[in-house]
Amino acid sequence: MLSLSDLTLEQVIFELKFDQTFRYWDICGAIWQDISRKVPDISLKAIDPQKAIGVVSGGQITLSFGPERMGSDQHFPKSLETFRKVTSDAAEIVLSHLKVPELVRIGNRYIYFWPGGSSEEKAAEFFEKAGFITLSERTKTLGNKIRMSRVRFVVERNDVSMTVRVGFRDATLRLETPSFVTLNRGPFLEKCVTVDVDCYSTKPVGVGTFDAELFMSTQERNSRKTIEGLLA
Amino acid sequence: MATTNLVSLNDYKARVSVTENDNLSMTRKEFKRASEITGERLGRIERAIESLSLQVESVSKTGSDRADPKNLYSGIGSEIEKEQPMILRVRSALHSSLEHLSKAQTYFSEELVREAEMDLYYGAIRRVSGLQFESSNFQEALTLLLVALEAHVSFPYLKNEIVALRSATAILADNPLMSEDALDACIDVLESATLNLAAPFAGIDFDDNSSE
Repeated sequence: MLSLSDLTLEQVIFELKFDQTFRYWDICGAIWQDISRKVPDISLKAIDPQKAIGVVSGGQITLSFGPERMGSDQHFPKSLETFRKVTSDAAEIVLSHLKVPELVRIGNRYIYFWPGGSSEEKAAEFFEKAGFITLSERTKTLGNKIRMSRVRFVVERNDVSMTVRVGFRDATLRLETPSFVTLNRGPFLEKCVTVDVDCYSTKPVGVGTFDAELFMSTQERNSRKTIEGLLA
Repeated sequence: MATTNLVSLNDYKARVSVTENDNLSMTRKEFKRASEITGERLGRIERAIESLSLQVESVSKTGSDRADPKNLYSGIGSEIEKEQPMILRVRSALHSSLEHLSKAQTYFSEELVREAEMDLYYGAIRRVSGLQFESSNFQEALTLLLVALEAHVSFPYLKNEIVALRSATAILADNPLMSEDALDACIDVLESATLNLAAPFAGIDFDDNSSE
């Protein structure tokens, strides 16, 4: 029997989309100044007319914003609190500077992987344990074994829906290194089972009622609950 | 279009008055000019109201076209929220205060009912101020609302004042995380009904040059 504690949170992603606002070109610098006041360890990585990208805590969190979106992500977060705080502070600054009245879409994604699922057989075991394959006896006559490499479904709820993708995917670490350097790929999995839960708004959201931190903590709870429900 | 109609109406009234009473000291031309000036002023007022209502609409756009904040911050399945998030508590308290304003408007001609509802509204707003909601613009707007209500305790409410309070409260309910624009709209709405937002400064002469 698998449980949520068997999975590792690989990545968390947050994104806000809004109608194009050309103010970005006028006040990009002012936005960065305000963000760097609130998040002192942010450093600018790239900036162009389409987007500005910065990294926080030595590259652990990536923040970006542009004329029609704002986003952030973090790989292997130890604690989601910092991610939520940094993202929500940045979102507040970006939205108020760009004078965004309404958000077209809010998305918050949690990607987990199962370290135990490095082979296809193990992955099949995961799918079976999770109860994704419930084929009738008649279908079983088609062959000895039926494998399923991915499942995708959408849970529709009032104003906030959830897309769940469970799949067996390639996770090979691709790094270009000089020929004289030998890379120890031992700790990295080549293939693994991932559980990707994407929570997103299905209706526009008024900025006056949008609390990024509260939204993220609610969706994180909901995604954990969904995975627990799937694995139960 | 509405402005033109108002001008024509005044013009028409002026013409009728002149025809009916030959002893009027103003000539028809003078009357027409006077009526056009009135029309212009009315037009200006009308345009100001129009832009104000557009401003209010832009910051208090609600209804089925937008997501309900309750759904954004609610758990799934059998999860029972231990405590409702503050933003939802504030919204819910403001929405219930709006019901009192709605009743006060409906029963406007019945003074006792109207004023009782306004008292209940005042109480509801005071309760909102007791909620620890962190948003400086929201707190500023709420304070203005309280100042306006406090300054009004000994006078009966006029219809336009109730309408303005309703609009301002709706802006607050739809923008607890209030932007500068929403705060400005809220102040404009309250000022448009000439509600006294400067009551705490009563008696202070800001033009006092006695020290010079």
